[in-house]
Amino acid sequence: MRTLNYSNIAETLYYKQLANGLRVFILHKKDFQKTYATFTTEYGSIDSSFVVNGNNYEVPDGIAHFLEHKMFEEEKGDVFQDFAKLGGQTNAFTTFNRTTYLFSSTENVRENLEVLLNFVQNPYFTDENVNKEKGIIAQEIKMYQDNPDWRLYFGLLGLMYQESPISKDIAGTVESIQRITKEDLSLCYNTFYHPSNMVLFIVSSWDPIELLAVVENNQTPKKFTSSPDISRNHHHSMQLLTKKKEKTIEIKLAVAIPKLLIGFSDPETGLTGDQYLERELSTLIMLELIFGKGSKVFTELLEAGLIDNDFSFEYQLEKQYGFSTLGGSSKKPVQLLGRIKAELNKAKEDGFDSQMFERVKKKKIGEYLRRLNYPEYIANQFTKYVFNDANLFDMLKVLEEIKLKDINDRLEQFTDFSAVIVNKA
Amino acid sequence: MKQLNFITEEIHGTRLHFLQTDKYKTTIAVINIAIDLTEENVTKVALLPYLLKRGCKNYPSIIKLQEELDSLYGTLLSIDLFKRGEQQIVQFSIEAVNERYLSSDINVLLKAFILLTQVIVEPLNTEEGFNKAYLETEKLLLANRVQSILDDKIRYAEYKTIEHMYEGEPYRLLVYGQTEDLKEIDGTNLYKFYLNWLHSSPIDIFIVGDTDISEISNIIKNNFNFLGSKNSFQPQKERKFSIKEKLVTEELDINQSKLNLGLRSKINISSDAYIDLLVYNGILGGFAHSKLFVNVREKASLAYYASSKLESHQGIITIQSGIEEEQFTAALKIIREQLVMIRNGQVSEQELVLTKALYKNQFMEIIDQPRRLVDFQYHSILSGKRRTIMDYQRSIAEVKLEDVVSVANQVEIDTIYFLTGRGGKQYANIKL
Repeated sequence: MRTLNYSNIAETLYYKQLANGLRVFILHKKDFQKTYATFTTEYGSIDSSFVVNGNNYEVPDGIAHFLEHKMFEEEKGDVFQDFAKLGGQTNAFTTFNRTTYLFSSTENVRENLEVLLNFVQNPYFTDENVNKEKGIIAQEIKMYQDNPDWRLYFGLLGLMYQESPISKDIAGTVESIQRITKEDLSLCYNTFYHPSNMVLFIVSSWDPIELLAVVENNQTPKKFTSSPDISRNHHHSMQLLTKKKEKTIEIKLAVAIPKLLIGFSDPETGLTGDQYLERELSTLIMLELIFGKGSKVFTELLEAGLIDNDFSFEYQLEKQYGFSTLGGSSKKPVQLLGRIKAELNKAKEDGFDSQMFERVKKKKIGEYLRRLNYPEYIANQFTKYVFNDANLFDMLKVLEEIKLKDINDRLEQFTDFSAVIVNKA
Repeated sequence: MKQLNFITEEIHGTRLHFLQTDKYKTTIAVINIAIDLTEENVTKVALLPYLLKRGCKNYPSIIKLQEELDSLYGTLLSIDLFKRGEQQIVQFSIEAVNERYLSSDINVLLKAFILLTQVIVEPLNTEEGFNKAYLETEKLLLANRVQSILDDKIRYAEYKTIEHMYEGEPYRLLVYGQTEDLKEIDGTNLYKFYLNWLHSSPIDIFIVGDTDISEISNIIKNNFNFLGSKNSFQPQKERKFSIKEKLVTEELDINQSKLNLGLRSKINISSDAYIDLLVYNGILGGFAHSKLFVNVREKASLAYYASSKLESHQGIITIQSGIEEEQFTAALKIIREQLVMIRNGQVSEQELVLTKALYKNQFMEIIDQPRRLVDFQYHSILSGKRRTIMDYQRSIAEVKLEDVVSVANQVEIDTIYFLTGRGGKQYANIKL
């Protein structure tokens, strides 16, 4: 086991890769009552077309999420109950490229951890339980169909990435999930749930050596096939499908106030390590400088009645793609869109003020430290970064090295945009 | 386990509650100001935090204020509005990074706390009252917030259920206020209202983190000097209600219908039987092993979400679910069956044990989250019923099936609310 000390943030991390390939990280948080653990596979909604050991497969959209639901059912019953007996609360979520299973508990840490490892490594699919889940997931899909933010987001991804799997709803469609069979689920499970494709992250006040022993004693007796040779068909296709021209679409929904979401996709992807962190930080600092709550633009837009306090921006970066989104409620979405474009151009001409830049850097330092209070944030974010060969705990170091020039360079890459407007039905 | 109790001192009628801990990388300060929720005041109160956050004498604009917060290592200054029973609470809070993680030696918390008090007590005003331009913008933004309730259909259905359940009573009011009140509000009358609100409302200040409390205490003495404050909460007035089950339907352009129920009980957080009601809610719909989740979702595949929630001060339970429109009768039947089953004591040993185990865990997890600790403490102050986390643990462990059955028989359906897509009118006349 390796011990990694991060004295600048007063954290100590323990790491070991087990013989079966599983990467185990343990963050020791003294004084915390609860233990929080995530067990994540690098497999999500975009992995619907892949090659394993030379064979080509296409599976219905929404299958990673479907699998996530079905993992909670075991031959002897429901996993929720196994955790509840031990005072553990469990959950799971599926993103474009990850599926995470988790629990939190303030007692029976060893037993809860064993339940987590065992249920994720013990699939149980029958025709009956697969069919029964279809009604439930259909309602989940319909719930999101009524959510304006969700519709904006996927409307935008559709514009930016066209037919690429990232533009499809993570849960699939009511139609696509009807086609899912237990054989499909087994295929995806066997392909993507091999320990070598997974990360276990534990935040706990428990002794890390003891925790690691629990994990090793659980994993060593289990038999796994050799790790499958996987190639995912989207890795090269994602960039080819990225749009080239400016586009706007409108969606009609039962909303009171229209909403706008604008997206800028990154021209190049595939950054790893510190470069990955640098890209993420410089993008967010740049957007903060132009559109943050402390910017002149924010106040002007608010006074002009073009935005609400919910106006915000985000940046998503993964191996396969990177894109920024900006938006919020607006009674005049078309005008707002025009202003955002104009402000980006203005910033390109004027450049950034170095004092403001230093201040926003300070803000980012505080934001980062604040988030380290939350085991949920640490576990989820750390895992995401592992899959991009970056380290969450190197963030401060990278942040301190960012120069104003990096921010200006980043802004130059904000050219072609796509935009979605949700209007009153 | 470490000491978990807040130490409280009174400073000129303001209560300061302090919990010393070095567990976190930040320290939080929370200021809660409570006032009775009334038809007359709800909108004025709802405007205040947003208007005050526009700036203060020393930092007279959003930009100036935000620049200062950013320089204080991104200190968060947040505002919130919420209802607790028939109290409307305005919350101001800051979260500041502890100096030991910073290369500079400024005392971030103290500077941020002074700023916070200035935002509350030194607003931008002229002799006539609040800054007019800011007020007009905030009135528009308030109207937007009220209208936007429609956009999130889950929240909308919850809000409409409460509105129909509490027709004619203050608790039906949306905490963001009412659009129709806005035209009567101007800088002068709002400023007068503000002064009165500040000087006569109970104020509770909470600090959780690693700091020297005497300095905070001094800032309060100098900046927060409201001798007129009345600092005790009146126990919630018992309102007479007669329950006659009613069905309300509504149509919107939506894909998924929402079936929500509002249930009344005569028990609330101040009652001794409250813990029994809590466990009742857990068995009914608080968790993934609960009756609603298991029967509406897992067995019948009718919904993705089907759960219940307890409003502790009001003593009401709300049920929420998202279903296919034509499953209305089927889903309602299953929900009713669950209520009847608990009344009849048809609760397995397992259901009771799991519910207690998960509540136990939930209460323990509060300890790790400063904001939840503050919230927990404030519940106790508002209700006048002091229970520690350990008290909850003990009382929950003692709840027996007959206690649950006893409260189950005091819970009655008041309102059934059904939100459908277009053409769902037929449900209004359905025989319940």
